[in-house]
Amino acid sequence: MALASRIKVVGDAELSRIHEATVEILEKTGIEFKSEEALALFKANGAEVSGHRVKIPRALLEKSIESAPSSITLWGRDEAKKITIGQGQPRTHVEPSNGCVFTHDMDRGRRASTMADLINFFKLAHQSPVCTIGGAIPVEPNDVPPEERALRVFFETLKHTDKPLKRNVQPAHEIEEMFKMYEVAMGTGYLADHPSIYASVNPLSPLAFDTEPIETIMTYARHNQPVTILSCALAGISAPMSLLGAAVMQNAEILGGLVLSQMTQPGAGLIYAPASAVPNMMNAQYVTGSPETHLINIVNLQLAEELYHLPTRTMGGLNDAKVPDAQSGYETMQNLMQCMLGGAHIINECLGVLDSIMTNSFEKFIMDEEMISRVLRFMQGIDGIHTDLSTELIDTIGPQGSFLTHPSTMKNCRTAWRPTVSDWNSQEMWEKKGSEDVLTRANRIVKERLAACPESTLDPDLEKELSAFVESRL
Amino acid sequence: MSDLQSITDALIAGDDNALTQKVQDALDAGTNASTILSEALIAGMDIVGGRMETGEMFIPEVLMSAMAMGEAVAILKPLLAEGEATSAGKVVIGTVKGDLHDIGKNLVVMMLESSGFDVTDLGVDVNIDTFLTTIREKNPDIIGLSALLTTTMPMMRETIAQINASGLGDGVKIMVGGAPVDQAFAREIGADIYASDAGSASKLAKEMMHA
Ligand code: B12
Repeated sequence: MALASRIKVVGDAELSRIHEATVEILEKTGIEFKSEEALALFKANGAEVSGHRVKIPRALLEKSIESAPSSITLWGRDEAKKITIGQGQPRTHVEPSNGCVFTHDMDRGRRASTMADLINFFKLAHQSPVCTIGGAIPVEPNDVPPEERALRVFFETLKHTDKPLKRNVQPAHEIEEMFKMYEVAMGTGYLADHPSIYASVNPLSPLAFDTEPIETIMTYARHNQPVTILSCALAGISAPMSLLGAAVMQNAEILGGLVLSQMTQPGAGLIYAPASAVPNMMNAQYVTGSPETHLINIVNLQLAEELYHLPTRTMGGLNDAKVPDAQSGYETMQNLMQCMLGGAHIINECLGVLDSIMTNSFEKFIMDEEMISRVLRFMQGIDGIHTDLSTELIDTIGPQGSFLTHPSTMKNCRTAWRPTVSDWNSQEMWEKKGSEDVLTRANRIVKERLAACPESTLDPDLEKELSAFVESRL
Repeated sequence: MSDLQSITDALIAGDDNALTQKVQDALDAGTNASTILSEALIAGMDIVGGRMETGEMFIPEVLMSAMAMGEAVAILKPLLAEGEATSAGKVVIGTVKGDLHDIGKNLVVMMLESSGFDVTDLGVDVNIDTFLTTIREKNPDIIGLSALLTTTMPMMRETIAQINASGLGDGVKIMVGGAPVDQAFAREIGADIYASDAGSASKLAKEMMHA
């Protein structure tokens, strides 16, 4: 039995008011699309187009929302790892972090990330039981020339995981190349009926889509691969200060992207991703730990779940701490609780991330896994043996008795949640074991996990073939 | 003196209506335009700058003051002697090719403008040729480059190299910034100024002009 309720920020009546305001923005203000191809498609579907500005009529919007699926099956190279995203999914899905410029660990501190760091993050994600999705670019491989990154990173992705994949915006020809490479592994024509890779696409807030994001939406839709439209507007800078105003605006942006995807290919998977933030208005910098931020995003999660019936995603584990300290922990936990209990189907930027998505920490990855596992357990609610009201048992044991030796306790004592990195020892035992803090334990776990991870998830011949594919194109 | 103080107060409050009214009143009362500019307005913006650094004033408040300042200067300009109200310097700025991030760059533009710089903002995804043509046309004192992506930081290096190769870099200072950029990278690619935020960008730009 899952929890009886999730977090709702606004009531149902308010939701339809917010939706109507969004329709007004789409019909009256419109959105800019910097692509002739997209503009032509909008025109052909009855939208009013002038210059790059597109005014999307209610009918087209409603038709598009209708055709977008409420759940998506995403396949992994290991088909046992396929997941359902959206309606009917058993638990929150977890995606590795993305885009961090710096890597942090206890041994070497903070430094520019390299391909070796990226591979280690891939390995941790592959082994991680909480992480159900692979790919992304947890840290930027600064030592690989930019023009070679796309293919080299994708090769390492395939090498180090067989989970369903998340990728980023790319020009159409690069996406085609990547899909070809995936089909080298899975067989020609595989992707057409196996959604396996989704890309995260950002509107250029406020209310615009640039060329490459548009190419990404359209190319993925044509190949039956989902996209996730992630708005990251900053309230007071690239969105209104008003929390509801920001929710309306990012709703308009995400739905604008949805209409484009559905016009390209009705039924293409679309993951609704509200990820706006309340910045530090003192200096206008991006910050992620404000308790106000998810008042915006949960309103959007409500819209997606209750009115549009769409799969959802949001950046769930962000914080502004520069090192994995107490601030990193409490801000992360605040955001995880809000986003997961708010019903997001996928959370991203939640495994290792620090410093407003600039830095990824190996030790924090291990701490985040446990934090996510705590919330996942809480969200399972009361199920299985826990639904037993136990009146008979309470009567049997009676006042002053002990449940410790009862068979029902013996039988179930190992089913209770346990920490994977937190310390539950007594003070004395903790001292005896070396008085380690959580960071030191996490550091040890990272090393153990990396040492135990296989060097490749690919069959050697396939690995050679994929490597040759990459070299032939560089 | 008190009319000057009330001008400064209106400027700090970012109240453009009150400010333009008080400037007009002061002129009507015979106060010298040059005195109003230096003792009430520029002095006021110095206070605003200081309060921004300490966090006493928030960025939107600072920008309101800067906009009000612009309106007040427009009134004074015809009355000032040649050279008195000239700009603090000319800047050409843009986000380099391949990069669409502009929130930070726009903030730098606003802060530079509020410190009296004449800024040509080329926007985002700016290719090297556009930089070169505009530099030729505007003859700026400072060139500003922004990049938020590690994949576009090399473009920053390339842009600087091309500016220098074309001979347009002589006597021009190059200023760079953006979240992943740091002092070491700035030095490595031959930039003259690195600033981590908009406030220090305008401060360093002013210092550079007086150097
Ligand atoms: C908002 C944002 C966006 C918005 C941009 C909207 C816009 N109009 O600018 C959107 C959502 C569109 C976006 C898109 C993308 N983004 Co982005 N984005 C951010 C975010 C969250 C905040 C940036 C911001 O605006 N900060 C607020 C401003 C005020 O701060 P600032 O930019 O740092 O500017 C200050 C200083 O740096 C300095 N400064 C800036 N410019 C200059 C110039 C000069 C001359 C000087 C002196 C100083 C200076 O002064 C400024 C004011 O104080 C950052 C994360 C972060 N922590 O920075 C990621 C981030 C920069 N983005 C990132 C990525 C990966 C992307 C995408 C590639 C995502 C994708 N998968 O498609 C695309 C790229 C699109 C493109 N081609 O450029 C990564 C970059 C990592 C990397 N590899 O380099 C980051 C770090 C997030 C992450 N971890 O993924 N992004």
